[in-house]
Amino acid sequence: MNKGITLLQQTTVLGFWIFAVTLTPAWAADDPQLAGLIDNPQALLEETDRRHNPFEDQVLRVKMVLHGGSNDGREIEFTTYTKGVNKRAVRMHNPPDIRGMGVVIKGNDEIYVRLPDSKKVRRVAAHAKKQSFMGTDYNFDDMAMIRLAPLYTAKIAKKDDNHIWLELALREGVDLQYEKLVIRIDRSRILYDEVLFFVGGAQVKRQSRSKPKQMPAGHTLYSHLMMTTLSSGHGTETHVVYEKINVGVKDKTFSRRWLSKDE
Amino acid sequence: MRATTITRVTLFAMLITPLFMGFAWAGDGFSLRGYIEADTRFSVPGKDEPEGIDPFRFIRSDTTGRITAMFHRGDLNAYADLAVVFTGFPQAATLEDLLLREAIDPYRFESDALYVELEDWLFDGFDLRAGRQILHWGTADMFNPTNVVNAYDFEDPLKFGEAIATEMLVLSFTAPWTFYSDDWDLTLFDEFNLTLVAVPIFRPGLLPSTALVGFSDPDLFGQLVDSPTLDSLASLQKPFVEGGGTLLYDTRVITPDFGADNMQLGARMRWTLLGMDMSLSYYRGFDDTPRAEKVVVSDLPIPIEEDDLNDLEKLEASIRALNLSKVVATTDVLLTYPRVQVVGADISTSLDFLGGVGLWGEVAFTFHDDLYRYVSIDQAKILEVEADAGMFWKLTAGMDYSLTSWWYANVQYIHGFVDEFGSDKVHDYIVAGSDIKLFGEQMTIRAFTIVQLQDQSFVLYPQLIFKFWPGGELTAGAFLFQGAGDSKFGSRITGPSTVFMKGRYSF
Repeated sequence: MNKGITLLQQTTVLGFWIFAVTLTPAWAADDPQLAGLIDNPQALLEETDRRHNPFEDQVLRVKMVLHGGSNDGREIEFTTYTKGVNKRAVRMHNPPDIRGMGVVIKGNDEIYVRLPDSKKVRRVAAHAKKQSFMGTDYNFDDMAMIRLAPLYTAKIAKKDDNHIWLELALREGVDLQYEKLVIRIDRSRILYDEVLFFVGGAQVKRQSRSKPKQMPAGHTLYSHLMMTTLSSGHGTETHVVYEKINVGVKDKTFSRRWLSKDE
Repeated sequence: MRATTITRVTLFAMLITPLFMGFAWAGDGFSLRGYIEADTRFSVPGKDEPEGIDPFRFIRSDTTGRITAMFHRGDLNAYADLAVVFTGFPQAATLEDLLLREAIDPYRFESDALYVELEDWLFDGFDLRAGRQILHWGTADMFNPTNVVNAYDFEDPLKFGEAIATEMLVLSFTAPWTFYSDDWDLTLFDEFNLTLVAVPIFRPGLLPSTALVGFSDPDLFGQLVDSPTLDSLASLQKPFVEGGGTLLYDTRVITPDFGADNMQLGARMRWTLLGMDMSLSYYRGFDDTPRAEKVVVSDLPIPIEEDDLNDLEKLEASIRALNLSKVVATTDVLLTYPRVQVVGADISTSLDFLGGVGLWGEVAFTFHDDLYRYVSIDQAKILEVEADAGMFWKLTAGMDYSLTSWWYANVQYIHGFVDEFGSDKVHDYIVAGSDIKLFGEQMTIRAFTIVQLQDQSFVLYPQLIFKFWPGGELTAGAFLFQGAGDSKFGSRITGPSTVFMKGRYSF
């Protein structure tokens, strides 16, 4: 009898434990480094930048799928090369009518583009930065924002057990259309999984990041992004096809010389 | 027997397989793209045209297949571009022609690139590119006075002179020099590049099909001529034709020979300074539009001396008094290409304090020798100076702005159109237009106009561009000329107003 009651007790305890683990909302532990950053929002922002860009250089192949509107279902594929704090180059692969098109970004004020049928490399004037990139919910400003800390000053907006929200104000002298961002940092990873974009005081876009993947190099990468324009409900879904880091991307990639070459 | 055949096929496959092992069809070593395009145009009334010609007629029915291949192997690249254009209009005029496929179904080949490139040859940043290629200079939109290395193709008026690929050797050095401000916020100097180019063999420009129209009518011939002597000739042609005479033109073209002293050379230095892209360029070679160096008129019904050309009324009266029904007068025209040196400069930037307005300017100074012309009208022999040795300039300056994320506007001032040569022959133009993008950029409403300020003739160029299909594009539009019959855009020489439709599939 005692043995049976003991077994019942054990089973009950085990059952409650299983219940607690599976049905209670997950509460991942804070990243160990968070404690030292939580009172310094700017340092926290710099750490998220470092973790989102844990490389000297990066090659990223992505596929975008557009949702909503008349270009619903359109797919765009390109490779992005990133180096340092402000260098990015993009080469389009699909759809075929834009294959070979290239963009080079050297900071938010120096953007060059080459269209596929043109032999001419053209500087993108500042006014064109707000134009949509190939019908997506991204524009040239979005593509130039590699690290946020050099562009914005941060303050903590709110916290909960899983996230910290930072409100970012555009630094003086920086030419970007978003005077404010709100980013949501996952406390267990010190990576932001949501970004809200504000223009003229009103939120205009929202980007959410999901499906974190542990990469071979040891860092975590969100392999799925969704950028939504609030006014239209149009969305751009981004899937990471592959990533390579520290492969020795040459500086010459981020130049008009690279753009002028057919690829 | 069957086993032998199988053996032979197997051996053949084994032999040819290694040929394909060097490249994959897609991947780092090789990439391919291309398109198939149909371009149909027909003329519409509204412009001065010869009598008896149908104002509504098809004037173009091109079908183009283009493929561009790029090969990469380390620092060695190779590019090949080839297009076949079926022109759609049979050229069969005789029974023998009906036996020729190319007369029934004419076509031509075009190639914009066929070259090999060595990157970082000898040292970092030093590239060598040899072969058939197009080198584009200048920052202005479409109208680039400094873009003189490649000859112009004026065959398609909608393209305002696209470049023809030419065989050349290009050496290019891009320096790894980047200077930032103290706080690393601003790039002070960047992207320095020096390009040297040598073009061994001169290639003339391709003239439009309407270039010969000027020789079909004395009034139109008068629009082509540019000197007092030729004006006199043109004024005598009208009474001659009205009196029943027949004018024949025999044009010969002499291109620069292949001697080393006729090699064309060019150099361009380019850099970015304080957010402004700048360049300086130099070209030594030939203008790619021919000019009449010799005009000989023979078989005239009356003798003409040089002094007679001072009293044209008397000459015209003499001609009108004759019965010219069986008289044929021949005009031999020798066309050559003037030697030029072109010094150019351009700048482009955007003005942040004006909402990021894009701004650019491009100027070219063309230096030429004395341009002589020998004109012989019967006994009158005149050596005239078409232009003294000197210089003329061309300029394109413009600005653009995105009024909204879907509305773009562009305006340019042009001094000297692509086909104008000589200080007293360049005119002034305004080019203005706008793009409105709708439905997620799948539809573009585009409208551009070009106005010549001196004669107020203009072109209207509206287009609707649809990209609702992956890889597909449909364009419908019009190219409408307006102006007096002797104006730049109103003259018959520029061809009829047209409506067009193009369909393209890219792969």
